[in-house]
Amino acid sequence: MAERKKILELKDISKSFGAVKALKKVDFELYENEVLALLGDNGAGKSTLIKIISGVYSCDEGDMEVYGKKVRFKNPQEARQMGIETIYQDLALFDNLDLMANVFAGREISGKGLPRWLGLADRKEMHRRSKAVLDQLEINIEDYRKDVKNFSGGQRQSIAIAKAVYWGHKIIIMDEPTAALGVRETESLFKLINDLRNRNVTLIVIMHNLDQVLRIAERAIILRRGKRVGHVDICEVGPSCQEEIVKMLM
Amino acid sequence: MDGKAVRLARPKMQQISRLIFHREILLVLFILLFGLLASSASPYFLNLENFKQVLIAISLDTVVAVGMTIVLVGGGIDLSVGSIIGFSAAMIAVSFESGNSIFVTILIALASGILVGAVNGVLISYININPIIATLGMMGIARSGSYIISGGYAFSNIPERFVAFATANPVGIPNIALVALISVGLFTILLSHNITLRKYFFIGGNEAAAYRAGIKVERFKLFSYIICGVFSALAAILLVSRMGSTFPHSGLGTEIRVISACIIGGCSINGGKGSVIGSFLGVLLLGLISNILVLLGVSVYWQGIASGIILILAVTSDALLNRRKY
Repeated sequence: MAERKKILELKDISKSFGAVKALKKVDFELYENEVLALLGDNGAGKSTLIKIISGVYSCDEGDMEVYGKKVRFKNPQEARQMGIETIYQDLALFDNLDLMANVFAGREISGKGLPRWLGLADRKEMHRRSKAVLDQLEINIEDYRKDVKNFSGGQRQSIAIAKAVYWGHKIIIMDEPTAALGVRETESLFKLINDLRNRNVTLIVIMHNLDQVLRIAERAIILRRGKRVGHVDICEVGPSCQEEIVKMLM
Repeated sequence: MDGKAVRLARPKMQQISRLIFHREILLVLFILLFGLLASSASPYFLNLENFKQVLIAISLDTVVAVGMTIVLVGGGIDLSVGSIIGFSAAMIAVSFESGNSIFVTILIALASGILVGAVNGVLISYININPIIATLGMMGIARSGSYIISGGYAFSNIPERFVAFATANPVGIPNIALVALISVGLFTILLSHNITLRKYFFIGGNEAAAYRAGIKVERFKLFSYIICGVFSALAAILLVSRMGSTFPHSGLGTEIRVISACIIGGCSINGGKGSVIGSFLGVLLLGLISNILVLLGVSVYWQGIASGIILILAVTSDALLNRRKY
């Protein structure tokens, strides 16, 4: 692991909400092109840490570096500009709109000439690009003009990922990505995560299912009551590290 | 996500069924069917002159419906549109009484709409007051304002040139209807294709996700109420121009008719759905119903029942098509 490039580093991060100390001097590091699992029981501070990384919260103390550059995000847009995208459990999709609109939400492109002058969206081009990114990721959507409310949980998850990939985000944070998925859809998601790794995308996943963590993650960082209590190199130790992780979680 | 194959082609049948179940297409078919039945009930119904009269009668509601559609698509609602008409009409009267020119008077009327719309928008977007409560409050304030400004009296001292505009007929249809139709045509295209206005579909669909996607939600919501205020003020200008006089109760009940028409036309009360052409078709349908009832000599008191039934039928059809089993 030593020769791998560190792309995200947090040092001594603390965050309090009133009297509650959600994070106490937590260190966190992410290496390029890895799948990192962030583990911990309820109230361990996983969500708070993720929200600091994605710009929803700013930390009270500590430093954060992205690609070697010291940053302190004021909002999610700043994190996104640095290539960090978070896919929350609710997926933040627009159920009333189709796939293309969801991929281009808030960033639609206009045509050339008069349409550009009138600020008209170039739907044809956006459809073409949406199809292209789905094609790249081998995501099967039968009728892509349907509103996304009509898609299955797995397809919706894929659309959220396709959106992140399309916009060139290199660090994707997935909060409980398998929570709403069936067995078959979970398998497809794991395949997609593997594909993303091959495309130089780095992933942070929050999961509770240890079997799933051992299958997809290379490393795991464990939090307990707002503190980092350890980390496990799953690739080196192998599946036998499950007991070690459980001990740290307890 | 299942399997490797990528199938993106849209089967023909799906395209056809989607087209048929499009609210606007359904409404056009319903209006044609209604027209067929109405023409057999009254020989005066299917007549160009009668249709012109219907167009004139629905022009004001049509103009207000353009602004209301934008607000509804963005997830809001504006109950103050009728009162804005009354307030702007009173301001027009006061302006003419003060000897202002037509141009200045039009600016004052539009500014009145912008003012009330901006207050609505700030209360809803930045202070987080529920749109129904905020606009209900402004409905009362603006209506009282129109009575205070006018002293409760009607004004008929309106310049001839101003009055001549609404009823002038340079292209075959009266200007009042022409303004309404141009507004519908322009905003049908802009709301569905313009990158800025399309953001209302995102805001109305999922406000939190729209914020996370970088859309300035508060600012957009504020502007939707300002736009609605401007269209209501435009309706007031057309109303005074058509009537040649102003009344403090001008616009009374407009909000109910327009909101009903927009929902019949496909707007969702929950936001994220709707089109300006759909809302126009909703206004047209309600206008045609009123028209046939008048032609048949049915008491005007029945009109509310007829439009209420159409509204409930439209919402019921939506609920049945989209119902979920728990």
